[in-house]
Amino acid sequence: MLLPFEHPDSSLARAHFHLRFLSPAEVAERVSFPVFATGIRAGFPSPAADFVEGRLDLNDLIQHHEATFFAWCEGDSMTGLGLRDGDLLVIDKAVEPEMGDIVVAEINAEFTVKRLGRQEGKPHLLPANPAYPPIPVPPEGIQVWGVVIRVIHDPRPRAKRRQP
Amino acid sequence: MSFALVDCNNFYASCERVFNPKLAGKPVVVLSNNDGCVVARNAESKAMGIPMGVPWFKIEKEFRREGGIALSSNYALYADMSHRVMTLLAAFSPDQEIYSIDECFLGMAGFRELSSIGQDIREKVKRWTGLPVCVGFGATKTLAKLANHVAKKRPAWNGVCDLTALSAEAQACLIGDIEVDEVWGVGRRTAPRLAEMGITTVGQLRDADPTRIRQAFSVVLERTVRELRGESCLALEDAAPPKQQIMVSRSFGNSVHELADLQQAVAHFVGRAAEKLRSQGSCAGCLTVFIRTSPFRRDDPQYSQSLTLPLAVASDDTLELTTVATEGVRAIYRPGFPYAKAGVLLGELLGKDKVPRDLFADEHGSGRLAALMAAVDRVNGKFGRGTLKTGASTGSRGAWQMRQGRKSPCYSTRWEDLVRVRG
Repeated sequence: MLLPFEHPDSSLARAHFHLRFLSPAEVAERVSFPVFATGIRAGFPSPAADFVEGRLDLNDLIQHHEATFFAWCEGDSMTGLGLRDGDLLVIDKAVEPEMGDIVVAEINAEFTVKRLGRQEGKPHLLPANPAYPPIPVPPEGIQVWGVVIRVIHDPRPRAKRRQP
Repeated sequence: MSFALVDCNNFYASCERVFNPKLAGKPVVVLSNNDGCVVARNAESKAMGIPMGVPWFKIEKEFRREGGIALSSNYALYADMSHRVMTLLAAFSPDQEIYSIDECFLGMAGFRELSSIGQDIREKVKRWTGLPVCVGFGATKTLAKLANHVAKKRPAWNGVCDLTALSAEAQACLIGDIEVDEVWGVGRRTAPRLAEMGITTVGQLRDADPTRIRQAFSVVLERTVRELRGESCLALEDAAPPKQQIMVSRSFGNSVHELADLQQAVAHFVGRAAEKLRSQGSCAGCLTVFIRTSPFRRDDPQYSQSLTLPLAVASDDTLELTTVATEGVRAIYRPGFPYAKAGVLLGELLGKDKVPRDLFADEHGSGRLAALMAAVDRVNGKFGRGTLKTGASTGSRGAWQMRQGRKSPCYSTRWEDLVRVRG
């Protein structure tokens, strides 16, 4: 796009040029004017400049990126362990499930999240809410889909929560 | 030398199964664009005898009666799962060639105990992604492909077949009787011609005279013969070379009659093609548009036309390409036809750095356009394809849009589509 101030003969050219100087999108090209650039920078070296580190990234909490998936938790059977309706579950399929882990498993053609544990010596999927019964693991076993490694909970009232 | 070929079993159907427990034990098929044909089947629908490529309408009734589930292709899901699998496989060898969305070659020179590496690969991919894979090892890429075929078709091999561990006799015994059209590079057209020469099995092709094969067919098939003999002729290719042409075309969900609808569809295809063009760092020197009616609907009046338009300066700018393409469609459009398909082909591709400068070009303006296109690509990369698009490709029309009535959610790439877990 051609703007009028780019026309060399225009008497308005210089005035517009100064306006453009302040336009944020163009700063990168314009700071190379030596008077300003060195003048400002040389005067106040940042005492922290040598200590800059990368920013923290929540992805650092994930150990196996190719094996990690997210899911939404629906229901209140696990509230006793801090998994509430609407929470975001971070699930790692690469982790070997152990007794005591909170796992996502396939039961009756549905995904469910429960704690892997024993009841009277037999393996069960245990809820963390007395209103729900433990689910015995059938003799043929169950399909553990993955281990829950983080639960992300938004503590604000539901109306204020923002989904990504 | 030795190579591995790792291939996901029933890839599309397996991806769907990972995120949907309701598919367990049921026949599942995945349909092509516009839900036209079967492009993937799980083990259960293969057992039912559903052939690959069959039009959906032919099997729909019976398939449903048997409790089968049909899904539209969910390429966002398959691409994410493919990326996960390929990243995992890259850790097993310093040399990887990603051959397609669901298979890759690995260079295994210097590795020992290939069978046990194969089992490790299977176990790791299965546990980390939920996807089953088979692994074949061979002294050449062609043999690795055949080994994979054995691993996949013969349960006794437990998903891994290492031809390099077998003596020549044992190898011959194992793969010699496989039909010749299973050989990598032997197409549907080549196989009948080979049969005329009395070659119907892998063993017969391996024992054929390479010179005779070259004379009767091509140097490519001669190489295949040598590869079957264990002489490695095909090296791993690091990355796919940049494409020489970029084509985006689709059959419409419903037939389209109006010029404006065709232009909108073509503008949409240009957006996608230009995105691909920029991602490989190329500019297009010419653009072809085509429109046509359906040759399958014989009672309809038929029309098919294409037009190639040269660009004054090679370009990767969606806006410029869109202008050219929509004008092209206007030039070839004839009223009164039920159009079934349209497409765009970008040709004469050339590296962006090699585009000659145009003496009359507005350098400042084109820099701003390049920045705009880069921003569009970034936004679409982050927020999903089609978040930002040209006005020409948008509107309330849209009879041309694909039918994807049975598409599953993008379980692993969209927040609102994540799996729901009962807590």
